[in-house]
Amino acid sequence: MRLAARPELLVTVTGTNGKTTVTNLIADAMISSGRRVLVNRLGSNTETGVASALLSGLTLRNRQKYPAAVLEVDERSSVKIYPHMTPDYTVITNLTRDSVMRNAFPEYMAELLTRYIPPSTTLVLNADDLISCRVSPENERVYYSVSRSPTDRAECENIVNDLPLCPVCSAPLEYAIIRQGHIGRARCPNCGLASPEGDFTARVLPGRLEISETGDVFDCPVPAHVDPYDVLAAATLLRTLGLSSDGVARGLASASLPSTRRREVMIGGVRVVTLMAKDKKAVACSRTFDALRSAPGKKEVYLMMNCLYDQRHWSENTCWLYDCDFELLARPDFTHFVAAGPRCLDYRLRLELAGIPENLIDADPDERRAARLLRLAPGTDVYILYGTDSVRLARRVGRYVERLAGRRTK
Amino acid sequence: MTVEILYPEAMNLYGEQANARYLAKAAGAELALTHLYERPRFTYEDVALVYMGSGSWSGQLLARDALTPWIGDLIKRTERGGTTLFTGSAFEVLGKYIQDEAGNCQPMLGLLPFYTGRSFLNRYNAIYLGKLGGETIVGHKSQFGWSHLIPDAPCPLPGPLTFLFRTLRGSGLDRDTAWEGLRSKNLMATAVSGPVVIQNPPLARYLLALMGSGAPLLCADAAAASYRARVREFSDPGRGVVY
Repeated sequence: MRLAARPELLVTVTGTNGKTTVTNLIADAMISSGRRVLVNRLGSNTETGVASALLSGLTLRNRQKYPAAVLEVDERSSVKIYPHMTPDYTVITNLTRDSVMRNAFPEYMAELLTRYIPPSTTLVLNADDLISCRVSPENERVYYSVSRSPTDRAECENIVNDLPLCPVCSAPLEYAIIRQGHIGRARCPNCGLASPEGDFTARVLPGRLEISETGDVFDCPVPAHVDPYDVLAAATLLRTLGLSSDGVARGLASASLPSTRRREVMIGGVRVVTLMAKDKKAVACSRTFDALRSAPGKKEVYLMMNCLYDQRHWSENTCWLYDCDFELLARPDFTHFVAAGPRCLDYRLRLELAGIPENLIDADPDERRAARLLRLAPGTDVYILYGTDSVRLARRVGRYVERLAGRRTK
Repeated sequence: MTVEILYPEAMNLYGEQANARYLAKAAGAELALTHLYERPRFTYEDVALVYMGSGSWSGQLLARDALTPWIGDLIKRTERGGTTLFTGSAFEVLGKYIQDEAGNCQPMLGLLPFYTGRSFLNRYNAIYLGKLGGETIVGHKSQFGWSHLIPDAPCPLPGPLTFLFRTLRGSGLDRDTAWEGLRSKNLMATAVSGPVVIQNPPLARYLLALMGSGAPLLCADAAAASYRARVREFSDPGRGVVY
C-alpha cells in the first residue's frame, strides 16, 4: 500500500454498518458522472483486500490507472491501512457494538480510529451517532443528519444502547430521538454536549430523501431495502466532492447494489426471502428483526447466522445473541422458527428465553435437514437469515427451500 | 428475594446482564438495577445476588468510582456469606490496578490481590474449559491483557482466598496459570464470559442454591442441550483454543 501509486482522489468508507452499501453508492454515482473509479466492491475490506484493490489499478510501471478510488475499509484494519495510505475523505457510517473478538466495544473502535486516521483526512460523519461523530476531533469534518420522522422514539427499546452516558462528563444522556440503540439525537443535561447539527439534513419520504444543504434542497432516490442513512452518507460525500445536486440524484438513481444480500421469490403462495442479517453483530441483527416485525402477515424464520469461519478452527463466541433483540420476534405473527448450523442449540435457547414457546422452535445443525423442518404454509412469508460468511451456503439453502415450497404446494 | 445488577449503564457489554436476569427470573426474584452513584441495595437490605458484568474501559472507571464508597459494605456482605458475582471485565475492577503498555496505572477497588496488564492492540480471544468442583464450566475469554497475582498483597476480603475454576483448556488468570477467577467465601469473580451462567446450567443451579432458591432453571432442556454440545466441542482436542 505504501509503495503503490495513489489515485488523485482517495475516499475510504468505514464504520460498523452500511460500509459496503455506501461504498457502492458513491462509486456508482461517480462512475455515472463519467469518472473512472477503483472500488473494492464486494467488501474485501481488510488490509489485504485494500492492497489487492490498489494493486489491481496499477500498471506495470506503478502508475495508477484510476484517477479516483473508493475503498471500503474494515474499521479494525485501520491500524494496518492508514499508516500507509492517507485518504482525502473518510466516511464513517456509525459505530455500534460489533464482533467481541475484533472490535471489543464502540468506545475502543472510536479511540482506534482517532489514533490511526491521518490528520489531513476530511471526515464525513453521522451527526446522529454521538460515538462516531466524535472520532478524530481535530480533523476537518462534514456532518449529515436525518431529521425527525413519525417512527422516531424517545426511549430505547433495544437491549443495547451503546451510549447511555455522556462521553465527556458521564451524566445520563437525554435522547430527544432514538432510532435504534444510541442512533438518534442526544444531549447531556449536565455539560451541554449535544449531537452536532448536520451540514446536510434529510427528511425521509417514501422512496426518496429530501436533502437540505445550507438553504438549498434537492431530492435523492432511496433504493428499496436501503437504509436512508447510507444514501445520505453517500450524497453528503458526493456533494462535498463538488458533484452537482442533480448529478448526485442521477448518480444514486443509477447505483446497482450487490445482489448478495436479499433475494425474494414467490412460490405456490409462499414468499421465500433470503436475507443477510449479519453474524456477530447484535445491532445489525436487531435491525433485521425490527424490519421483520414491521412486515405484514404470518412469518416463519430460518436462522443460520452462525459464523462458519470461526467454527472451522475455533468455536464462535455467541455472547452477542444476548445483546440482540430476539424479543422482537416473540409475537403471534411469527408462527415457527428453525435454527440451523453449528450453533443451532444456542439459538434455540436464546429464542426460548426471548419468550417464544418451545413447540414453535426446531433446530438441526445440518442446514439442509433443518430446511426440511420448515412448515412452508401457503400465505406465510419465510425468511432465511444468514451471516456474512455464509453467502454461498445461504444461496444454496434458499434455492433448496424454494424447491421445497414448490413441491409442497403442488 | 432481590437480585441486584450494579451499574447496568456502564457495565453493559457482551450480553452479560442476561446472567443476572436469568437467575432473577428463575428464582422469581425482584430485579434491582442500581445506577451509578445510587446507593446499592445490598448496603441497606438483604440481596440474594449482587452482580456486575463486563464494561468498557470508561465503564470500569465509572464502576470503580461508584462502588468505592461502598467497599466496606461489600466486605461485610462477603464476610456474612452473601452471594456476589463479577464476570468478564468486571473482574478487573476488583483488582489493585490496571496498567497500560506505557506503564500508566489506574487504581481499581483493591479488593483482590492482583493487577491487570492491558495492551491496546493485542486482544486475547479464546475458548475456556474448566472445572468448578466436579462440574465442567465452558465459556469464552475476550480481553486486552492478563491479570497477575501480587504475592503478599493485602486482601481485605475474608479468607481463605481461592481460585474459582481449574482450567482444562484455555488460559487462567494469566498465560501461565491453570487457575481462573478468584473467590472469597461466596464472592466470585471470573474473566470468563458467555454469558457464563446461562451457558453453564451447573453453575446456574449452584448460584440459585447459594441464593436460597430451589427453583428449577428456565428453559432447562434447551440450556442443557446447548451446554452438553459446547462441553463436547470444547473438550475435543482438535478444536482450536485461541481465536
